[in-house]
Amino acid sequence: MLYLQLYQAEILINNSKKFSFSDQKKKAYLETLSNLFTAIRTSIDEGYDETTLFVKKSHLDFVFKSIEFLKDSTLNTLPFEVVSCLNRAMNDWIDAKNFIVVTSLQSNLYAFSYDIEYARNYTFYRSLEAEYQIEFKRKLVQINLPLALSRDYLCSVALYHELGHFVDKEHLFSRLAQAEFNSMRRRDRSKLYPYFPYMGTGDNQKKLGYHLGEYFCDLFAAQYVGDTLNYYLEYITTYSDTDTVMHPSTQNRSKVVDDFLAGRYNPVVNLIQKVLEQTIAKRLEIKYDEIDSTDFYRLIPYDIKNDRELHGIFNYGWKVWRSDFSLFNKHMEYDVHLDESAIYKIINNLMEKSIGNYFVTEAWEKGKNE
Amino acid sequence: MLMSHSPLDQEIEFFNSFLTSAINGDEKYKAIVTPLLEDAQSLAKKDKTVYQLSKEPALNLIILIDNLAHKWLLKVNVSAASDKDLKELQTLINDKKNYADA
Repeated sequence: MLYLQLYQAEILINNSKKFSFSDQKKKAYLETLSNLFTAIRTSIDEGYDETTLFVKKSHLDFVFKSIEFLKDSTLNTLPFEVVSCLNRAMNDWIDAKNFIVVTSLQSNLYAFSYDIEYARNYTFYRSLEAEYQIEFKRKLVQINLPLALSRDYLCSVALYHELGHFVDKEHLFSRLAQAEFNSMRRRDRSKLYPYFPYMGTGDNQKKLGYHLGEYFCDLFAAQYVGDTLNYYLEYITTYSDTDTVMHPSTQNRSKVVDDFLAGRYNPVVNLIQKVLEQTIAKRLEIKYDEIDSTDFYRLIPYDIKNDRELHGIFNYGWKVWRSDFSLFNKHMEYDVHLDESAIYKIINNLMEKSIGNYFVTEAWEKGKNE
Repeated sequence: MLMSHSPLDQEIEFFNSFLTSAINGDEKYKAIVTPLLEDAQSLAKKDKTVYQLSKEPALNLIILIDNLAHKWLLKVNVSAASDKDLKELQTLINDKKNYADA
């Protein structure tokens, strides 16, 4: 079966020679990948034990995955506006030069995600270096958006949560929070039990790890998009009070975010803040400005002035969507006869234009000064 | 997905393969394994905290090794671990059924 996978990978590698990139980093990555495949092919032998088989298979899986990422990235169908907002947030936390971020449109309606399987994977990359003396200086990360919703800026707030998983993987905040939780005195730990009820009566470390990650990502997103993710989450989970293995209850998640945004004490927020301070001397903080404007009601894009307003546009869009739609008539000073479907399209369109104008103007200003 | 392999499972499987190569005399892998075990031991003995190790690229694995083989780390001289010591470590790791619980 290993040989089957090998020959499948060979076809993909040969086909990848037709990929055309304007980005030199992707070109260099593909070259390294091709060298890796050659090295794997040369090394393949018969009669492997289970562990060696696992290693070789994992190396080939990486080749497949990387080609899939690079192939999708040659299609120029992605809305640069959303990706640019996310990259701006990412640069607050991650050294972007270590990564090649690619994007892909997916058929799954809820496919808002970052594929970060190979973003930080110490043992895997060490294995490549030891076995074949091949080093990948930059790691591939893929942002996934659902094709059907690729221009839905209201739902794109979910991507800020997904970016949180990338940031978490890079810094291991939730892993450190888990270690911190386990080292706490029982009296201090008990304050966290309402948010991790299974830890009060038992010791489910797997669930604890997952849930800490999810709380972190919710808070990470809230820094940039406020409580907008709560609206989306509360709708798709019907504001559940039940947790799953991988996710805390929606009620608990909303409470943590609401407390953070209001500046109220919350033991989960405190725990995560402590971890951030100890590791990178940073804290979670509000990184957006509330936009107070009637522009959208007057059907014009908002003139974003800085990065805080850039992220704030998502909160503004949601505020307008959740408002009384008669405000459109009021600010236009006549009955514009807009139904909900039209308003949905208008808000998304105006968000896109507002963001697009900001980046185009920024690039123009930068070009003027060079 | 036909088979589920969590990221933690994958980390420990790779580490297992490093151990096998080190036990079989490959010095290249011994040079990878030894510093990892030294860091895990410093965590086990509380010579270092997780925060002091937070910049280590292998932090996840270091924490995992401490969770899986805490007592072993407290008794073995990891800087000069023998093949017998490493085999014992490997047995300890393989005996744990679900690394994600560690």
